[in-house]
Amino acid sequence: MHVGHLPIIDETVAEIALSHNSSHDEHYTPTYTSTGTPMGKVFMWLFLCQDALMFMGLFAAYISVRIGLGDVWPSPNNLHTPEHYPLDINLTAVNTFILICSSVTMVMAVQAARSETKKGIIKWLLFTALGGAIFLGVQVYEYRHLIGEDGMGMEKSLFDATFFGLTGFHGLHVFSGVIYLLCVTIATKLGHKEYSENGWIMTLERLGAFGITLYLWFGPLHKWPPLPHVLVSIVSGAVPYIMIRGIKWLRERPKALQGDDVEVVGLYWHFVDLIWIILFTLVYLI
Amino acid sequence: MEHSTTNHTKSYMKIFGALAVLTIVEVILSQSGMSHTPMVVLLIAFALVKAGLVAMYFMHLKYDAKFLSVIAYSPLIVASILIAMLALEWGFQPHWLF
Repeated sequence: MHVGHLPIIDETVAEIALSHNSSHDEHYTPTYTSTGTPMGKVFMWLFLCQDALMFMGLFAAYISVRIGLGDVWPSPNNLHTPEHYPLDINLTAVNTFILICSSVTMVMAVQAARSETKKGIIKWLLFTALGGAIFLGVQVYEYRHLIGEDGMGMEKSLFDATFFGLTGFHGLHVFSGVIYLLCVTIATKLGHKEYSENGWIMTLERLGAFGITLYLWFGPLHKWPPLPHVLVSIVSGAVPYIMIRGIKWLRERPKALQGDDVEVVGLYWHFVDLIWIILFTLVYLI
Repeated sequence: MEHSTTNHTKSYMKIFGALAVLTIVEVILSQSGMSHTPMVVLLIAFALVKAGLVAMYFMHLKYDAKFLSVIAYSPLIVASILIAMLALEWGFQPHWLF
């Protein structure tokens, strides 16, 4: 295995080791909590905890509406409605598989970060982001099909509303996850020294992140196409947080080369995968 | 500090295989025309197993500090309250939905 012989990484690790030991460094902030677990990891878990609660609320609403409506609900194995079932299970199964694959490439990135191979981190992170992007592409294709050809829409029925609410909420998590992954990839690529000389890259990234956030946030207020109805509910939570987290990461990059922050983005990504596993079963299969 | 360079690749691949196989089984099961209730129970059980595998191995809950597991599982308490409340609703056969 590649065990840390890359000069850049070694240098950074040495710097970190020094800064941890030096008592005269006023800007030193502890990365580790008293439990020995990195700060980023603890807080990502706390964020995931509240995010899970948000999903649970949506799932609970879905289950209650669905059980309340009983046989009227379209389902692949409901004798009354199989011919009206609009969702393509096989397509989504392939999409599920893609997301699972991206989870595997994510653990490979974490593995690479542990053995401190910069190239490996970048490669696997890019594969993961690609998996997320493909997933989103398929979801957009599915939405276009459902809205355009099957005439589904948020306001049409409870089936449609819960479907778009749940999958859209999850979809934007994937979207912000891809941005987060790309932020981490760029940061890993640039390294510590170039960063300070490339303030404009930082500025562009910040502007981009704010721009997208504002676009998604205020867009629906100005009568944009139906899809933003879905987006607006999601944007309220995940996107700004993840973007801020990504930007913060960019600013405090050297620490990430320890592998902790690759692990933190990994936690988020696996969580998105985990939610999809449950969502796929509840919304598509049952 | 957690700087273990343990190579988990093999176990990751095993988990990946398990997830893929379970997904295929789920899709086949959903289209098998099995009677509704046992199928729903099986599908939910499979989904929970898959979610558990992701949390335990990919998210490292199995190897990490226990208090992270406490944070991770705490939403389940709220979930059980939600389910209990929903169960009451089911008992009443709610008509307000129509």
